Amino acid sequence: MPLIRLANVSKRFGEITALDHIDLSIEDGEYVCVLGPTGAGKTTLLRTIAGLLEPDEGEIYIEGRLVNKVPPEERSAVYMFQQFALFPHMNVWDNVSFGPFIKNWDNDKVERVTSEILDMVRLGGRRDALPSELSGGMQQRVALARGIASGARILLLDEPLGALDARLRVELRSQLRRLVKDQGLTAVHVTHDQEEALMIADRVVVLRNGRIEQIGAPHEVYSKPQSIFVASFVGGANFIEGNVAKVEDSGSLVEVRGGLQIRVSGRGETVGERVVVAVRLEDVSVGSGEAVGSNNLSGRIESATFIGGSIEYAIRLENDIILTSKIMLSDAFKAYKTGERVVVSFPPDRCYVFPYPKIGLLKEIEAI
Amino acid sequence: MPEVKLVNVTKRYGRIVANDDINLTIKDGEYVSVIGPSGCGKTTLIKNIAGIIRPDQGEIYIDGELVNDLPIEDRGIGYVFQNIALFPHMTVWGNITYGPRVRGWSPEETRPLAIEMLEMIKLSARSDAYPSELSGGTQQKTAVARALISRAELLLLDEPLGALDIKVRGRLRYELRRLVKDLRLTALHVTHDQEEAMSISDRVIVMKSGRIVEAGKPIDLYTRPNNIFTANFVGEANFLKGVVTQISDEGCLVEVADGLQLVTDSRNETVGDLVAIAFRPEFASIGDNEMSNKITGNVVDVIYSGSIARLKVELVNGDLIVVKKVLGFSRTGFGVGDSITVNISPRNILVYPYPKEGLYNELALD
Amino acid sequence: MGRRARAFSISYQLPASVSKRLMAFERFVSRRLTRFKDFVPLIVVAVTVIVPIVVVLNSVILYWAADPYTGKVQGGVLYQLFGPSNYFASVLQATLTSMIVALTSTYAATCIAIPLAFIIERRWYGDFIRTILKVPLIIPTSSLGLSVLLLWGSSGLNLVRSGIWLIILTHIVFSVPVMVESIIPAYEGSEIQMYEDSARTLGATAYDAIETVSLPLIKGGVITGFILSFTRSLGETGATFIVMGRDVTVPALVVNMVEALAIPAALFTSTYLIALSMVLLGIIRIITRR
Repeated sequence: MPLIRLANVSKRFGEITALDHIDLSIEDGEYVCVLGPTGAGKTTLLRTIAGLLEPDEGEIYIEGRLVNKVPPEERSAVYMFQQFALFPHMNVWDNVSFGPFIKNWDNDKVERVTSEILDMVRLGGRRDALPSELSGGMQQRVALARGIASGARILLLDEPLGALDARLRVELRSQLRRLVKDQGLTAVHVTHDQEEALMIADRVVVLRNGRIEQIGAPHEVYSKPQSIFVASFVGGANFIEGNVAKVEDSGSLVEVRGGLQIRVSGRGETVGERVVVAVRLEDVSVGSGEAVGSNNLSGRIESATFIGGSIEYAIRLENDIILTSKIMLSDAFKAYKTGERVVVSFPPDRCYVFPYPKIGLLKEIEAI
Repeated sequence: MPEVKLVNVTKRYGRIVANDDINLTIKDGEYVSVIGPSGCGKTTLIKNIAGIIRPDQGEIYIDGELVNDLPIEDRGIGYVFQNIALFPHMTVWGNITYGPRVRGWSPEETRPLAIEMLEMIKLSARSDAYPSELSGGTQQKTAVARALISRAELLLLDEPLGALDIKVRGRLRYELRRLVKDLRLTALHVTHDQEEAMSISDRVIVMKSGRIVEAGKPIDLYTRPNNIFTANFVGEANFLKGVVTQISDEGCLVEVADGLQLVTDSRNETVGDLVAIAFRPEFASIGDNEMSNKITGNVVDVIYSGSIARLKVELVNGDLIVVKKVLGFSRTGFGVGDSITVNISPRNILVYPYPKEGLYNELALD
Repeated sequence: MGRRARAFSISYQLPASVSKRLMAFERFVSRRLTRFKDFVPLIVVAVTVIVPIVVVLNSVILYWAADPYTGKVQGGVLYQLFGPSNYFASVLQATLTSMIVALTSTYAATCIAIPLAFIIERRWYGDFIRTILKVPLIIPTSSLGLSVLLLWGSSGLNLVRSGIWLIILTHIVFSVPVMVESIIPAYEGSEIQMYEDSARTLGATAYDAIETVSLPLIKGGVITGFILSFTRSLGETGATFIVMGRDVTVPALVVNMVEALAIPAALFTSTYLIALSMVLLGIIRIITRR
């Protein structure tokens, strides 16, 4: 039996539908990330599970029981804000022991649990400090400790690393996951950072405009995106529009601008169908030599941007389409310069084919 | 003529020295980013240049002129705030035309400029909207347009993309650079996101605890950082403690564990020096080949992230390193517990004197 | 409750059975009686505000033509207003006085309070000023009136003679603190410093920035303060009495009427004052809604 289950949950705010018939099951001990752009409804989803909001439609089950009318303090789920929401007038100890304290546990138990958890987040030596005296990373740990100490089984994390520096975020990601797993808790973690979701989650729920676009393990959502939105939002991709020219057993040929043809692995297209082919930046390789064979296209380097551990090339093909390639730096690395003639290639089975969106490709991508 | 010059600039808040004897020159037309952890003083630096705060010591020159005593409104700068700071009680048009209006420009002069700005940020259709009705990215673009309309030649950006989603940030940053270059401005961009800084800057300045640690071109800071803090802050790096055992014309040999000696091409050490060596995960290639510097260990964790896997490898002496691998059609082929060998060429190993306070304290971002 | 003895550290505790029962009671109230939580404020409002007004209104109607108990016409509202004592004229005169006083003093208080609020927020001695400003709110209003009279009136600096100017001055004294306290939350909730800095980087001088950006942002606080001060000024008697001389405000007139035992007239004037306040408040709301 799943620990948390949402059945057909909807929530509206005036004219805006924040959650649109959400069906979701989360197992005990799972670390689930809810991923989506601002306004997708992620925070609304979290607050509904927490009991801070009541759904207009649908049912929410926690530990098998219907909790729609159950107030937050009785749901065994603790909500953690992006801004930490540490009680500013209480020190670290009082903040962390708040949950047990307010539930009237024995003094000894409160002492024990609070000490243990403070040591776990390595803040045992700072129990008398006020939140304002701590750095962002430390405050986040106090907030986490407070959530765990409350004895809740479910942690609802609203962009928990959002208030932190980029570098700190990366460092704390694995610590966060480990803490949750060590305690045997279930986490629902909301974020707009797809890299974070891919690294930290057991399962990723991609949300857009209140609807679930795709659910799956990180590598699934990454390597088998089910829509243009997911392909673009998770991992990013090049999008090329075209028409299906030929369908064979081994795959299809899609004709794009300028008569160029791209070979893709078959996925049930029909001849003449207008489609969009998506290729991930990391799957586009750049080399020199002749353009021979499927999916080897010649072009010129339009720009080369160095981004830390990788280089992003924008290559203008002969038909004026620009493809972006992201190549991780390595020892045997050769850098191409702007203006250089190169050959780009990408394997057919790394191409995703989607029907051409009704509102037009540009609009669909812009909306992301 | 250098556009911005800081000489011995110091600013204190009580006992904290936010800017500690800063010397800096930004050339005309340069796009410079300042990066560093929270509290390193980068925001104080940019506020000093803007005139929002005044330095306790030192001089600030803009275009050759000493501006210490010049009020904010006379410094000819455009400033974009971290929380955007669009005036909530004015429309997009009102916000954009604020600068010219308050400087006394006539409506005839202002109108065409405002229209041009709106065109540039592609917001002509929404000039009547209030900030609260716009998305984060659109608000940010409006804030930039507002800062630039008065023809300021120096643009100061304080975490301009901080309030935006990661995806939007990733797109907008290139538009920022394009705008600055098209208008031939000088830009100083403060951010905590080193990837952002690296991708759009001509030069990057790394700050820590009020001081400038290092400055240089993005690629140089990445491949040849002069300072161990930079090596850690910019990109990813593995660090191992070691002792120099041999030196030669081509470099030195560093012993990092029993029986494990690494060949480096660093020539600044003497035998017996205590050092910290660093190398980037992407430069460690997996496999056994003829090159020097073979490191073996056991895989203790595999973390997948889209098309890349990070393998945590435990060395024979217990040290942990991270190796990055691009995923092919399959997974890495490595599982937890597997034995693995990596190679690193000498030129990709950076050698630094071992920090006095220890590695952990020196590299701490907290 | 023992358990809240000192900001959450348990130094004194009730016996377990009692505290468990208390907790259960708290939870019961919190859960079951939520339905009633909306009722209670409404009932409070009804009892403290609406009922007194209804009572007064009722009396005016009862006493309209004549005293209902004795039947004497002289005991009726109409007689007292339009008969020999001609209280109606006094009411009109007093209305004029009250309006002038309220509008002038509140306006002047606004002009003083806004800069004061800025000083309080931005200077190191601001807290000190804010504390001192609370004094006029604490001391009895009659003492306030007396001090103003002694300082500014004939026995003191003799700058202001008794009468409407003294009243206005007195009302300014207690309106400024009210204004300041209304503006400060609006200031602190609006990130004013950031917007001002933003305006200045765009070329505005400090003064321009305040005028075009900061003031609009604290508008809400100013309006609230204005309404509070205005209504207080309309209804004030304590200090007004001491300083008024021959100019009389409406509430002071009511007191006079009561002392002259013209109770029906007093009742009428009270009702009139309530109606007047509501009309004026309505006008202010309409103006500021724009």
